[in-house]
Amino acid sequence: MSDSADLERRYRRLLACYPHAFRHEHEQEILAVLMAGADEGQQRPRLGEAANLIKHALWMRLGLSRGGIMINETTFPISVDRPSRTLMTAFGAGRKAPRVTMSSSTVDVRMGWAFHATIPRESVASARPLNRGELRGPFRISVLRGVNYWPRTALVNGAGTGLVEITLNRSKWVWLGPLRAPMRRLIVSAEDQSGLVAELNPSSQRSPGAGDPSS
Amino acid sequence: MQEATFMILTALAAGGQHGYGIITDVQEISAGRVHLKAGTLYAALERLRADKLIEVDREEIVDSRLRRYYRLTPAGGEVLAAEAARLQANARVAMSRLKPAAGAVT
Repeated sequence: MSDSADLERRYRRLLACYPHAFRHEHEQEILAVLMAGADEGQQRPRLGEAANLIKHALWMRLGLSRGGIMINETTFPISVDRPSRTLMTAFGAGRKAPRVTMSSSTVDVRMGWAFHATIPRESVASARPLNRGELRGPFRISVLRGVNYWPRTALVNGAGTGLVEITLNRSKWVWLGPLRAPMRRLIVSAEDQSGLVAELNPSSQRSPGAGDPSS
Repeated sequence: MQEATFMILTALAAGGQHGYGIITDVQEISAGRVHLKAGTLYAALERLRADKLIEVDREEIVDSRLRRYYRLTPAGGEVLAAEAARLQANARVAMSRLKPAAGAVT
């Protein structure tokens, strides 16, 4: 077998680390880039190149891939009272601040390893402030903190105040720790309750570049 | 915005390019300082596409390999222009504080 066929086979093996959908879409063009960058007679992937592919493949599988880009993003911290912060730190979910991050296309909600949801903005049907008294079922327990799940509803909070109810127009799969579950309604405790509601409501959305009549 | 992202958008500002073209162009415009690896490039391209800052321009088959060309969207052009203006303003302040006398002359 020729050197380039060997190299290509090894690159393909590395690209198998990526999620299937990404591989289906990009494998051929990434392979073309890798082969174009290879030296004459090179048989094995360079260590740095291989490590870089594995790193990004894992990030993508874990839903952590942001490509290192922070463009047009607005972050709303999830409010966490002092006892909850201590508890979350003890469970290892407090290392990265719990937050709702909004880009022009997605709403990303994260509470450490315990909860992660990436929701397309067009899937958000409505958002409104919620009083604690409106909570039903097991969510009525006032001391509930952290990540709680009731069929198709997730309560992700670090405090009992500043709650925002986000309703989706259809169920989305979200991560509850290592488990995936369908979610139609999400309740989060926001430090800036009214700001988060205003940003989430579809009426406040505008397409990039809109609203500049000067051009 | 990270430097790699800024460089990718800059590379696409002059017209559509395929993956390897972006890597070589970024290396050239950064005077060899930024060498993008394939994993980093495609993670960034995926994200930029999701944010609608770039889009697929066209696809070609060259030597039986797929080449997908990307180009800036109007929104991508605006984001790049805003970031370039921000960097320019920061650089101007830094230079004026480092050389107050020179800054006064201009």
